[in-house]
Amino acid sequence: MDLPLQTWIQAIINGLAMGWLYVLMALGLTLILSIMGILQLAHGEIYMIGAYIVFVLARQHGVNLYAAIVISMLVMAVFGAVIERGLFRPRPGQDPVLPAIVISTSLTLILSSFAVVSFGLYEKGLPKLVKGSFRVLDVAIPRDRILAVGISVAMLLVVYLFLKKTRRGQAMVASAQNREASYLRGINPNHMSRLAMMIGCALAALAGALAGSILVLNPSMGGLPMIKGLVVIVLGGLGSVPGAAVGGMILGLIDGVVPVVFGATAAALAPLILVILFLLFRPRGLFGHE
Amino acid sequence: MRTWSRIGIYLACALLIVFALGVGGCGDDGVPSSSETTAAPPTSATTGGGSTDTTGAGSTDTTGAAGEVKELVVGTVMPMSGALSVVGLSWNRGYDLYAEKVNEEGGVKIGDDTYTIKVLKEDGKGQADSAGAAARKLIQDGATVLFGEVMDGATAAVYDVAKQNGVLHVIASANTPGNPADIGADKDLLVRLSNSFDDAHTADLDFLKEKYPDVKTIAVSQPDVGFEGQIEDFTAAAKERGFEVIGAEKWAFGISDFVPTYTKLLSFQPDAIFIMVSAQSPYQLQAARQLGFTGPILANSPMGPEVHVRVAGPEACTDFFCNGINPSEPTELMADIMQRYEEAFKDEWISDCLLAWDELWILVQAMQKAGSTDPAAVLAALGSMTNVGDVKTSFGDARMGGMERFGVNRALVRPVPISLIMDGEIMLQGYFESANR
Repeated sequence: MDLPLQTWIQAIINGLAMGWLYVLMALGLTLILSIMGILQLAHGEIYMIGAYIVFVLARQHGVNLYAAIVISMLVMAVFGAVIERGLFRPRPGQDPVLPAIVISTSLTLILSSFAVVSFGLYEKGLPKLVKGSFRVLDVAIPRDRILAVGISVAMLLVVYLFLKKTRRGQAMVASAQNREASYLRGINPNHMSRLAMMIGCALAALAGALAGSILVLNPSMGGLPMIKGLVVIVLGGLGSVPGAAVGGMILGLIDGVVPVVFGATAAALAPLILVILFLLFRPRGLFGHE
Repeated sequence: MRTWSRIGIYLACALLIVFALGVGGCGDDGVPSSSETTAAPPTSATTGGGSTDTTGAGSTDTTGAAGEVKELVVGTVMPMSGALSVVGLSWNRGYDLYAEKVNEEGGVKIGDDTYTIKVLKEDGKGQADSAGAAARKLIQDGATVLFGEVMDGATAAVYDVAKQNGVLHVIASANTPGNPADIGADKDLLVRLSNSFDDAHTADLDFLKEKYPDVKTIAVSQPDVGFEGQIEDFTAAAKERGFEVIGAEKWAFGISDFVPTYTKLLSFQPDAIFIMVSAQSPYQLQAARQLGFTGPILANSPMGPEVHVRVAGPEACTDFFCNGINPSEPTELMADIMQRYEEAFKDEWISDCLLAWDELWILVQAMQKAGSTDPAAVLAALGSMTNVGDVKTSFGDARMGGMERFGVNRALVRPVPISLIMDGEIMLQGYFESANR
């Protein structure tokens, strides 16, 4: 590969920056999956709607971008509580898996259509988190991507500390590990499910807002990050916060470096090949447990 | 372990579902995929004499009694779902607006008859199989002229169906002249009533040379779905003007993060960047500026400069020019179309709509000249409209051409706009001569 060193460095930095957005997506998905036992297929659309809420607040009503992001996270957290109670909470004795697939697929279509009708098909842009780039070793590093990394890392730490250090977080972990046993210990699994959905939706809204500021908004923007989030879970392991971080970094590096070195086609295939290999040879991922 | 195996299988299934939804565009763009029509107004009020043809679609019979009121049924095969749905939507809006204008005025006189226009729409999805099926459905529904698609493979599929059924086919957007989707002497029923993107190469390069005399090298960003013909054309035109094309980088269709692509592209260290045929040029502009590229960037997409400012942001939009019009400096007709667009759709303006309006309008001009809707007569009429001014477009006077490159005069030659953006401010530089020959 006859590429200058600066190009390699640039590719790695780009990849790691985008990887942290995947981490946010994966974190929400993995919480929901491990605690509720369902895959929220509309998570990408939550991400998209979260970004559009920021657009409406920041672009159309002049709200400060960062305040708009916080409001969007809160709104989507409430939305998460509503859909958990109204759509995803299984009835006693009911297998939650199949209804969840049908419901979340329907929710995907509903939210996408809502976005098209409300915001139109054309791309929109959010204000930049921060403008410009700076140079290190003759490499241009976009400031907004670095700030997005900082916000994502901070949020990851918050979630990690919440799960490890707070009673409610530990209750969530217990519920994820053994729903029945935790119920006997006085932990209401429905409350844990609601909390997981709220946190997951808020994280998706944050990821959507950050991505919307770095890239652009459109009603189909949630599809690819959803897939990336799932890939991160497979790589990192279900329910593992460090796994989500490492999985996101691996995927980010693939996305950043492979297209530069091997081209666009290889970049599209590489994560899927990796997922297949993991599912075949290490289905619990890097940090998942038996 | 059993649980993990289940989860693995579960995730794999879910991935497949999500991937399928993503690739298929989820059919979620809010655009109906079934036939959609622009209804013509009651014809009894439009003409004084003659009977009204109530047989519906496809009444292109010109042998009937003089003075009849008929309906010209055109079918559009456009991507209405998936990554290109924005393009399909704006083109369909253009066809609709022109049809509505004609119908408001009571129809157009073709030969002895008066025709209102009915537009049927089907989703081509940018794919050959879908586009072929859509074309067949439109013909079954009575379409006697087909428009579309915007992707080469899908366009070729539409032509196959048009040819089998003896129906005139108007290319919506020719991406690579000389490829199977474009016009040629062997394609009896095919005509291109819009510019090819590469028609702007010479005008763009001349402008680049004049405006940025220090530029010596250019790197090209192109989609990974063909366009080699255009690269060759651009490289040759650049060489003639003293530029060197030092590299080209392909990107996967549908992506929105162009930073990896531009990381590679900028490793060529070009003086200028050429963004080839891309509806995603705003993303690319944004990526190039984020990575610190400060040189001029040109894009031959007809996408409006205002879209670039809106999406990429004013800070990224400087030393950038493209072949879209400046909506604040439209021609009189463009202004009228934009007003109609605003009233009809109450949505952000997108200038692709003008191209569709012009296509249908030019078709009607040819039919009027031929005095018939018969495909052979219409094509003969178009082939004779080779003097500037024989064809009217919203961009100004135009003509039919293409004999030198394609062996037939079935390509529109119209003025090419160049809009320059500096610090987010759009400035129309004028309308320049097309390279089409």
